[in-house]
Order: sequence, then structure tokens, then C-alpha cells
Amino acid sequence: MTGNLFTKIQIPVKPQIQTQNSAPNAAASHTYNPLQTFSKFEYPPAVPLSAPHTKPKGTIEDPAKGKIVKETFLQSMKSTVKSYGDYCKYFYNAGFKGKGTDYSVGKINDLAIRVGSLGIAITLASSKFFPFARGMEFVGLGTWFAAMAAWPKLLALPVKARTGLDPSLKYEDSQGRRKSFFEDRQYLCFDLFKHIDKNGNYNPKAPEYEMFDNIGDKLGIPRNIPNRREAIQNKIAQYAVQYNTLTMLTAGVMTPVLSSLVADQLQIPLGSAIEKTRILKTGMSLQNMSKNIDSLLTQDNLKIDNAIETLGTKLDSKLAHRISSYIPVAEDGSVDLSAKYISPKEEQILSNLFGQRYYGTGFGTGILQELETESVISKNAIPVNDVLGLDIKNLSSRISEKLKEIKTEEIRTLFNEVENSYLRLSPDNKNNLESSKISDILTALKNSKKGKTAKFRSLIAAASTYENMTLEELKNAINNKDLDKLKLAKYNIDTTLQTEEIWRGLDSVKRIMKNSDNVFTPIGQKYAAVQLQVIFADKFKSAGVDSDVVSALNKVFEGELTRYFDIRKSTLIRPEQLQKLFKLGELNLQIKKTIDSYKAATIKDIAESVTARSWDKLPKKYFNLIGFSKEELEQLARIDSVKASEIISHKFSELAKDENKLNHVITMMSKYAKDAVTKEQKAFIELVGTIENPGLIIKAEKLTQKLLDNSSFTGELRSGFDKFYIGSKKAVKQKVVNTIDSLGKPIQILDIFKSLDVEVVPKIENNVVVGDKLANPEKAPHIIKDFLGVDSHEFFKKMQADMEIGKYYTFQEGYDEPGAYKKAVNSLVEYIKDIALQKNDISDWITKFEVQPEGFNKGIKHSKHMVGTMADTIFSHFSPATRAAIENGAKGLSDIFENNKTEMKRRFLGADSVIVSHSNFENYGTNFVHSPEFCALVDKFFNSSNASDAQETGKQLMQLIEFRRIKGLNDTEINDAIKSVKGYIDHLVNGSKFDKSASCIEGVKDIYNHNNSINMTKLIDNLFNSRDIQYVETAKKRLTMLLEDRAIELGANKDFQDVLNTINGYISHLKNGSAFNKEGCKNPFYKILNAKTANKDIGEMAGKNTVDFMLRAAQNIRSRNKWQVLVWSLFAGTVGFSLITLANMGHTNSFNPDHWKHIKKNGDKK
Amino acid sequence: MVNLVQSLEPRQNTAASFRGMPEVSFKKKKQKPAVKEEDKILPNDVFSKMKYNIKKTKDIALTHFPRGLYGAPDYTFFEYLQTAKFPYYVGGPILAALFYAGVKYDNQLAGNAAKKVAKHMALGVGLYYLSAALAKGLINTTVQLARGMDLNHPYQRVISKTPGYTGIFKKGFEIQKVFGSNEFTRWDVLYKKDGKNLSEINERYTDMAKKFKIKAETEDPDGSLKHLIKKTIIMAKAWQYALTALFVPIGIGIANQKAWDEENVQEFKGLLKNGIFNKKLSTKTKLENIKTALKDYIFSPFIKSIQQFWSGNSKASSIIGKTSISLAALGTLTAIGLLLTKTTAKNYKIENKSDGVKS
Repeated sequence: MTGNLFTKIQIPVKPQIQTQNSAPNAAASHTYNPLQTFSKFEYPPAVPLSAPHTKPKGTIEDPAKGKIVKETFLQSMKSTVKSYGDYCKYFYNAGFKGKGTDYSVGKINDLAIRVGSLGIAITLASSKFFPFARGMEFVGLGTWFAAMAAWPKLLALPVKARTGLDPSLKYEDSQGRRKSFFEDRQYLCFDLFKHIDKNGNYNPKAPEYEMFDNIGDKLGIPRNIPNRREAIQNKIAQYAVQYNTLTMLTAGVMTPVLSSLVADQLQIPLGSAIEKTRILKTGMSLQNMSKNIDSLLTQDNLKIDNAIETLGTKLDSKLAHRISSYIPVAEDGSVDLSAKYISPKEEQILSNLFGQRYYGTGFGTGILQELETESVISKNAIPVNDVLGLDIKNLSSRISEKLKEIKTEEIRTLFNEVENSYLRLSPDNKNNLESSKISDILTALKNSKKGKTAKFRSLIAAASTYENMTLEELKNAINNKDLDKLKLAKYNIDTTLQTEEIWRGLDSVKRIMKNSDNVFTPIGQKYAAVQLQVIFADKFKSAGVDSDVVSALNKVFEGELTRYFDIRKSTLIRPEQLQKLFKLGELNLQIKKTIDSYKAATIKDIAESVTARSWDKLPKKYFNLIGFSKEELEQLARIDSVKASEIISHKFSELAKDENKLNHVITMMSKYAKDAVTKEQKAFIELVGTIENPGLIIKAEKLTQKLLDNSSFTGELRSGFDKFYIGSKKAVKQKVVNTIDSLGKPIQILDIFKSLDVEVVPKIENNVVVGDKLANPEKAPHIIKDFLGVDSHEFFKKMQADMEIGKYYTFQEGYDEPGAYKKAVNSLVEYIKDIALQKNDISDWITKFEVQPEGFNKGIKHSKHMVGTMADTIFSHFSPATRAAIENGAKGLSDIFENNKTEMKRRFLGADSVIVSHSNFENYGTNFVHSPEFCALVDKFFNSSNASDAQETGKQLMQLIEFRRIKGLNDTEINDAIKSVKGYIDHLVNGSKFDKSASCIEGVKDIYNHNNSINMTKLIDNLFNSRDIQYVETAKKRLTMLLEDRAIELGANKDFQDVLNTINGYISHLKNGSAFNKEGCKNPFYKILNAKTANKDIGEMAGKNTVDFMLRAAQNIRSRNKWQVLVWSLFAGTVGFSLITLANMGHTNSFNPDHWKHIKKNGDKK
Repeated sequence: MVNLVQSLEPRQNTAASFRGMPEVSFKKKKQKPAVKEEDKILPNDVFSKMKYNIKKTKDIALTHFPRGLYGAPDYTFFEYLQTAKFPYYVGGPILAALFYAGVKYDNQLAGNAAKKVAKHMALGVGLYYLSAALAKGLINTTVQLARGMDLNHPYQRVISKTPGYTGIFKKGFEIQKVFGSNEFTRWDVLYKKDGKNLSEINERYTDMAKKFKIKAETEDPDGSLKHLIKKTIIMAKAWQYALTALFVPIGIGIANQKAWDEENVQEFKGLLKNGIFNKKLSTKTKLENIKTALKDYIFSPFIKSIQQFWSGNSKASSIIGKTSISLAALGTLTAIGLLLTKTTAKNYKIENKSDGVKS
């Protein structure tokens, strides 16, 4: 028998109702069915169990240690952890020794499920690239098991409330094994409750089974039936079985549902926790690096090794190892840094390694190009050593021989021709040709037909030198190179150069080349060839050799030298430079990694960055604020952007008309946007910073430049790094501007809609239409012109031809009818709204209006002006009410948005665009970079009431103001500002009178608020139009300052120099009348502003399209809604089913007829 | 072994037809001789097992759950365990379905990406159950081949039938496993009760004894074997669970590889429709197409995904991939090695009392 308890209980002769798990003894189960015995009873009576009175002889009774487990949450956690230790032991015993019980083996399964699930989570997490996704795998694991544990407990609560006994109860048997109390209906050790009192506590003094009596009362089991306790137990068991079954039936649904719901909620805290940690972690390494670079920048004569050490750069071992192989270390520790020769193959491997290491870094190309230059690897170098001297000596000695060969060959060629010509004349004389006298041959040739020709005459003249010889004699002389016989004795000279003569030439080259490597680069080789030739020629000239001989010799010498150098050329490597280059690359790579990891955590468009998280949340919040209905949401999520634009336009218009709601929406939007904007700006400050307080990128750039200044690398490397840092700065700036634009745009659009619907339309209607009549038809075009900057006829000409027929109306015909006029106004307004909502591309606008509509001779007359005005409208200032609403939501945000808008407009139109002159560019430029910090400082200063504080801040402030003077700001402005600062300090210290007016503070702030008052485009126009040197000089200073202010963003060092050069050229043109071409003189300026619109990505020019913005939000919300519907309906369905089942638990049914009700005599209770 | 058991099975027993019991005999279906209902071993061939499994599955829904919901007093532990299988098989698919519900179907790009993830998820659920089954099957096959005992060998266990007052649901016997418990291993059903002599009665034990390397004929094969069989059960079960823990992450890992993205569902549907369930095609072409389908959609992505899981897409995943595959391989080898070396009778001396001959 299975149970330890029942084995010890002496069972009376009368069989028990309590059927046990009869597994081991199957035979018994079919031979004897105790229940049959009782078929005559309605409720089988039972005799209470009692302990045996006698003990079988020779047996030792195990102490009964079984107990009900009653633990608090913490205790159960502890015992769970402990039990897993036991399970590991079970596994060891079972798996390796084959020892165990059913219980222990079952527990191994529990352990395996946990371990396996953890393995799954680790596997899934490892395939994720981002920490949040990784984290969610474990959150999912946790919530899964939590849900698995929690749901049965939750279901148990109502059962416990009903019966007073927890159906998910656990007990521990005498062997210390924990089991669920009710898992086996046929084996319920209720006797463990013997000493449990009515409060559920162990109390041996209490009446036995006191708890059950209570439960019986609760369950309404009559008190005066025989064997009541068993009836109670059976009822409890019924509840437990029902509860167990319900749990099994619902757990499959409820575990994933609860798990998803909880995990979904946990996303928020997990996400922000990870965001914070990431920013903290990457920010700390960024600041550390920044600090280290600061200390490096103060060092004079900075060495790359110092930088590597200070920043703790880890060098790539593969490359480092290879490079160090070129720098052998001698036994005494001295290092051999001299240049080495390597094979072309090795050179290839090296450049491949460099290429791989710095691929995609942004400065990799610069490094590779530098690698190819002479300063690092010289591919065509020749070592200058004794071998070279000896080789040249040998080479020179062979020159006369060479010349001898050349000359004899010339004669051989000559006579070959003579012979051939002669044979053609008289082929019969072939046999005795050899013995013929040359003079005879020549005579024959002379008398021939061709003999008179110039070619033959010169041939004969040349050959006549040898007329006294026979042909055979001559041929022998040629073969023997007998210069005397060939009458070439003058070429018989010793041409050997002496070693000292050679070295005289080579040393002079070395001196000129300042060559310490004992190497000739291709230029050196050319030089050396020339030097050696001079020495060679001089030597023979001074010896009195004929000049034609000398020049012939020299020619041969030159050719031989070139040939020799070509053969000797090999690849040379300069290990010192190579190592420096490598270290510079590694240093910048480390900097880039630090920058990248910070960017990835903050502003990068990459999953889980701050930006991405904002983009996840904000559109939804905006969307909800505007309050789309469920149908609109459905439509928006499903349809294309054109239709969506209509819906959104309609919705925005509705909102724009309700001022209170509009202001509320704008305030809330600003509140939401503020956080995202601040975070982006903070990242910008950390990465790029301001001129006064530069960020890591600027510092790193300076460090690299300083290191390059101390090196002998070429411009290739420098421009490579320049490009990298300029690109980095631009990318950061662009990203921040785009985000702010995207977040500010919906507000801007609402503002435009408001001004259209609330101001423009009524204005037109009030002035043109009175009542239902067209009162002042002649005014209409003017109002349109005021608004659009273009004659309405022109505009609607385009409309009629280009726009959808029926959607837009024309003014051209029948606008004297009030109805048509109203419609036309509305369609115009709709059109502008549409542009505000979705048109991002300026070229789109321009082409639209410049194209000649069908049936018209030309495009719109003032199209450029019109586009310019439209741009002004779309990037206009906020209306005062909107401004106030924004400030209400987030202080200071309206300025940020406004500055950003001017920046966007500048990008949008482009300085080279023809539209610029038609647009109002008062706010050209940006003060985004400086103002906030400077203004904060000014505010801090004027708010300080403490004299010492003010002095401290004031000192700093005055320094910054003076800094502007150096940069060429107007003296009066600076003096006024300094006066104000000094005045306030004096006021605090000595109590002198000081008027702390707003205008005075603004005046100080204006020192750095340059961009609001100065139009850079106008300035450069004026500069080149003026002929007043004084003005040009001032304008140049001012422009320099403006450009320097924006240098962070523009970062174009070379172009910057170009602008200055052009202006200098113009100044000197004015001064001395030197030549100056005005055409294209503004181009460097436009280039530096990066202002060309053409060929630019729309995404680069602008933030997110608002329609797109809303569309995405709608899609996200809808898909989330769908998920929510499913998850909550599963939840509700399961809960509903559980509730119904719970309500019916414990009822009388065919399995549990509760016959005791009928045998009751009193029958008082139902 | 299987055939042997069947052929030796007494005819009247195979014809037994208890209430609700699956028909295991192939003859004389209608004949219902009055036999006692008794516990007995059942054939363990594939078809019979499948039949039993279908019945067991059906019973979960039609018998165990209703009985449980009514709180039947004769509800057994077996029924409890059977119902516990329901959440195990339902939970995974529901989790995958919930994930799929979150797909951004309005946005083509995001939708496609999410659908891919959902596909991996569904595959993962499938492969989870498959790898768990594989882990169990591996050990079971090892034990079956090496020791001649089928851990899943079914037997019918007669249980007290519902008394007169119980209702509509019947319960006559349960199909359990002979070696399901090491404490209550059903030695009794392993005897051939109608054997004429001891050796016939002990036949199953004798067969197993050979596999357990009990060399000579023993008088007492059952007695000698019992502790070895117990040991085998414990060891095998422990390793079945352990291997499940090791295999399941691999299943999930494989399901999450890019190899599964290469072929899309639409194409697969097209192939099914036009290439396999197309009436116009000849059987030969259809077979070819089935072969292609298996190769392109199951076999080659499976092989590729294993390779991808092994090499990983990042440093971490490469380490995890290599570690988990190596661990699983090592675990399998250890398990098989231990089962082969530790459960053999070679480690023990077996003496026959009658002649004292050692074998």
C-alpha cells in the first residue's frame, strides 16, 4: 500500500469507504469491490479510524512527521530555492547512480522545465541586439512562471472563501517530500488536520478535527448525521477535484494571457530603467574621455603614445603584431625604426588589414590613402648603399661597350641595305658578292635607276667611307667589333666612373632630398640620374673627348640608368610612420566607438535609443490628444496618405476653430514634446557642445589636429579626419533639428490652420462678401495677393489646369457669384493646408507653379514670389496665443521651436535658391547653439542677490562678452553690455543705483543673439555690392564671426578659408584694382552654408511629415487595440467560465448525490 | 518481441471487450465471452500505441474533464495527470497567437517584419514540442534497443468502476505504462499468466535478461532483473528530462534563424495547390513535387538553420549556439553511455541457488 499512514492503521473488519490508490495490487481491485457491499445503503456508513492499539512484534515505528505546509511568501521563496538544490541532488542520484523514487524523478522534471525555459530565454536573448529586447526575454520568462504560479492561487481564493480550506494546499510527508494535498483524490491524508484548530493553526489541545467541523458548518452539512467528518471530507474533496480540473482547463489560456499582460506593463519600467542606465553608462565614458582629452590638449609637444596611454586605447592585436615585426628590438633594448623593404605581397596584406580595420569608420579612406603615400609606404624606392655605388660603377664601365655595339650595329644595318639593293639590281652576282670591293658595288648602285634618289645617295655616301675594303673584310670587322678598321677609334674610351665620383653625385642628391633613410624615392631617382649624368659628361668633356661622342655616351648612360632604377625599385616601409598612423587610427576608432555608443543610446535612429522611444510614445500621445473617433482611427490606419491627409486636415481644422480646446491641445503637446526635446538637446551638448563649452566631437577633432600638427603626415590623412569630424557634427545637428521639427510641426500646422480659418477666411468673406452678396468683387484678388503674394488669377489659372477637377474652383469665371466665390476661397485654403500637412519638397512646389498649364502660354507669373510667401507662411512665427499656449506647457519651448523653424526654412529653401530673394529672411540662421547657455548665465547673473556670486558670474560673463569683441561685434553693443554688468555688480557691492530693466537684460543677451538681427545672405550681398573698403572690412569681420558661430554645424574648414580668400580678393581688388571675378564669388559662401537644395534628401531637409506622423500613430494604436481585444477577451472569457464553474462548485450532482440530506430526520436545513 | 507477445496472447483475452476499451484484437469482434476484467499488458506496436493515444486524448476532453468538473469521488491521480497535459499543449500556441495579434498589419513593412517574427514564434512552439519529444524518444529508443524494455509499453489497468450512484460517465480501465513508475512497476503484467511452465511464464523476463547481459539461463530472471529495471527506469527518466532541458533551447534557437525566411508561405501554398493537389498532374510528378516541397521547405531550411544557429549572428549568439549544441550532444552521449554501462548485469554477480553456478 502506498501511504505510510494507512499501513500503520489497523483496519477493522468492516471495509472502508476510503478507497486507496490500489496500484500495486491490481488483482485485488477486480476481485473485490468494497462499494458493492454497500449498495443497499444510501450513504455508506463508516467507522472512524483509530490508531492501532498493538504494535506488531519486531517492527520499529517510523515517527509520523507529515505536516501541512503553511508558509509566508518569503518562506516559500526560500524553500523553493532550497528545493532546487535538492532537485539537483535528485538528478545526480538518478541520472548517474540510478537511485531515486517516483517523487524525486518527478521533481527532476520540474527542474528541467525551469532550466530549459531559462535556456530558451538565453538563446532568444542572445539573438537580440538591443538590451531592452534582451531584457524582455527574461521578463517574459519571469512573467510566464509567475503567471503559471499565480493563476491557481487566484482561483483558489474563492474556493477558500467558500470552504475555508485552500485547495492549492501543500503538505509534506514523513520523508519530507512536498506534494499538492489534493492531487490524488484517492489518497488524501486528512488525518494531518487532526490537530488543526478552527483558526487553521496547529494546536494539539484543541478538539480533534476542529477545523473540519467549522468547514462543515460553512458548507451546510447537517450536524447530526452519522459520520459527519467523512461527509465533510468528501465535500472538500469534491471542491478540490473541481478546482483542480478548472485550473487545468483554464491555465493553458490564462498563463499566456496573464504573462503577456504583465510583461506588457513591465515594458514601461524596464524600458526607462534601461534607458537611464544606458545614458548613464555611455555618458560616463563620454565624459571620462572628454576629461582625458582636455588634459591632453594642454600638453605641449603632444605625442601619440601619450594620448593612447591617457585614453587607454586598446590596440588591435593583429595589426599591432604585424607592425611590430617591422621594428626589431636589439638585445640592448634599442629599437630599430629605420625603413624596411617588404615584398609587394606583404604590402598588400598590410593595406588589406588596414582596410578591414577601418572600414566604414568615416576616416578609413584617409588612412588608406595616407598609407599609399611616400610618407608611410613607398612602393618605388631604391636603397642608397655601397651596392648602388658599385652597380653604377659597373654600369658606367659597360657604357663604351654598349656604344661600340650600337655603332657597329649601325654599320651592319647600313651594309645590309647596300647588299640588298645591289642584289635586287643584279641577282646573278650573288656568288661572288662577298669578295667584291665595296667601291664596285657602290658604283653599280650609283649607276642604277634609283641611284639618283636622295635616299640612295645618302646611303652611298655613308658607305663610301669603307670603299677600299671588300664586303667580306667589312663583315669580319663588324663581327669582331674592330673599331680601328671600322674607323670608329674615337669611341674607344674607358667610361668607368670612379666610386668617389659616383658618391659625389649621390650624396648631393641625399643632401638636397634631406634624406635620412638612405633611400631614393622616384623623385630622388630622377634627381640622381641627372646628377650622375652631369658628372659623367663633365668627366669626358674635361678629358677633351669630342662633344658628339660625349653626348652619344651620355644618352646611353641615361637609358641604362633608368633601366637599372626600374629593375632595382622595391617597396619600402617606414615603420615609425606606420605605427603612428596605426595608433592615430586606433585612437580615433576608440573615440568613434565612444561617440557611437552614446549616440546609439540617445539620438540615433536605432531601436531603443532615447529618440526611438520618444517616437514610440509621442505620436500616440499627440494622436490621442486630437481625439480621433474609432471610425477615424480605423480609416487612418488603413488608407493611403492622400486620403489620410484629408481626414487629418478636417480634424485639425475642427480643432483650430475651437480656441480653448486648441490651446489645451497645444499646451499638452508641448508638455509631451518638452521631454524629448530636452533629451535631444542634452545629447547635442554632450556630443558637439558650444564654442565656449565644446563637446566630445569638437575636442576629439582638436586632439587629432594637434597630433597631426606634430607629425609629418600628408594632407590626405588630415582631410580624411576632417571629413569624418565634419560629418559627425553635421549628423548630430541634423538629427536634433529634425526631431524638434517633427515634434513642433503639428503645433505649427494647427497655428496655420487657425490663422487661415479664423483670420484669413473671415477677412475675405467680410470684405468681399456681405451677407449673401458679393459686395466688393474688386477687393478679392488683393486679399488673395496679400496672403499668397500672387495675383489670384494667376494662382487659380494653375489650380484649374493642374488640380483635381471639381475639387478646386477657379476665380477666373463666375467668381462674381457669392457661392462660387466662397467655394473658391475654401479650396484655396484647403490647398494651403494640404501643403502645410504634407509637401516637404521645395522643388515640388517650384515645378508645380512654373510648369506651363495646358491651354496657357506660360506658367504663373509670380510663381517664385508665391512659393516664397508660402514658405514664409509655413515657417512663420507662432501667433501670440499659440506661443502662450506652448509656454504654458513647457517654458522656453516656443523659442526652441522658432529657432528650429528658421533653420528648417533655411534648409528648405536653400541659399542658392531663387526663392530666397522673394522670401522674408529676417531670421536667417540659428542661435540654437549658444543662446540657451548664455542666456541662462545672464539670468543667473541678474538674479543673484549675493555680491560675491554676482562678481564670480559677472567675471565669466564679461569674458564671454569680450570674446565677441575679438570676433568683431559692434563695439557699442559690447560696451553697453559690459556697462550693464559692471553697473549691476557695483549696485550689489556699493549699493549704487542700477535700473535692472528688461531691455537692459535683453541687451546683454543680444550679444550672443546675433542671428536674429543679422541677415547673412543680405550681408554677403551687400558686401560684394559695396565699393566702400571700410564697409567691406567691417562686413568681413562680421561675416567671419557669423560663420564661426555656425562652424560647429557647418564645420567646413576648407570652404571657410575659401570664403575669406574671396573676400580678401575683393578687398585687394578695391584697394589696388587687381583682377576680381564677381561671377560665382558667392559660391563658396553658399557652399559653406550647405544651402543647395538640389540633390538633397527630403528626409535630410525636414523632419517627419505630419500626416505620416499621425498615420503611424494610428497604425500602432490599431494594432495594439487588436491585441488588446484578443488578450482581454481571452481573459474575460476564461474568467467568466471560471466564475460560472466556481459558482457551481460543491453542488449536489450525479457524482455527489449527497444522500445524507434525505436520511436526515429533522431535515431542517436544505 | 512484439509479435511474440501477440501470438502468445490467449485468444479469449484479445477478444475481450470492456466498456470503452479500444479494440486491439483483429478477430472475432462480436464475440463477447464472459471474462474477468483484469490488468494486462497491451501490445506496444506503433499502431496500437497510436490507437491508445487517440483514445487517451479523447478521454481527456470527454471523460476526465467532465468528471473532474463534477468532482467525481472516484477521480484518480492518473486522470489528474492526464488533464495536466492540456495546459502544456495549449499554452504555447496561445502565446504565439497573442504575439501574432500584435502584428502591425496596416503597415506593409512593419507587418511583414512582424509576420516573420510571428512565423518564427509558431515554428518555435512546434519545434519546442518536437525537441521535447525527440529527447524522450532518444532515450526510449536506446533503452528499447539495449535492454528490450519499452518505457512506453502500455498496459491496461482495471480500476474500480463507478458505483451505482455515479452518473453518465463511465470509467472502466486506464491505459498506463508498465514502466511508468519505478516504485510500483507492474511486474505482474509482465508474466505470461497462461504459461505452462516457469520458463514460459517468465518469457518476457528471460528475453530482457539476455539484453541486460545476464549470460546464462537463470532460474530467476525476474528476480534478478527487477532492481536493474528499476535502475533503468530512474536513469532513463532523469535523462529524458535533462535532455529535454538541453534540446528545447536548440529547437527554439533553430526556429529563430533566417533560413526559415527564405521561402515564403505563399509560395508553399502555391506549390501545394498547383503541384501536389493538382488533379491534372501524374502521380510521379506529384511525388517529385512532394520531394521538392520537403526539401525546400523543411529539410534544407532545417539544415541551414542548424548551421546558422551554430555560427550565430553575433558574438553572444555564436557562443550560445555552439555551447547549447555541444552541451546537448555531450548530454546525449553521457546519457546513452551511462544507460549502457550502468544498467548492465555485468556489474553484478548473479547466482543460481540450485546449482550455485555463477554466470
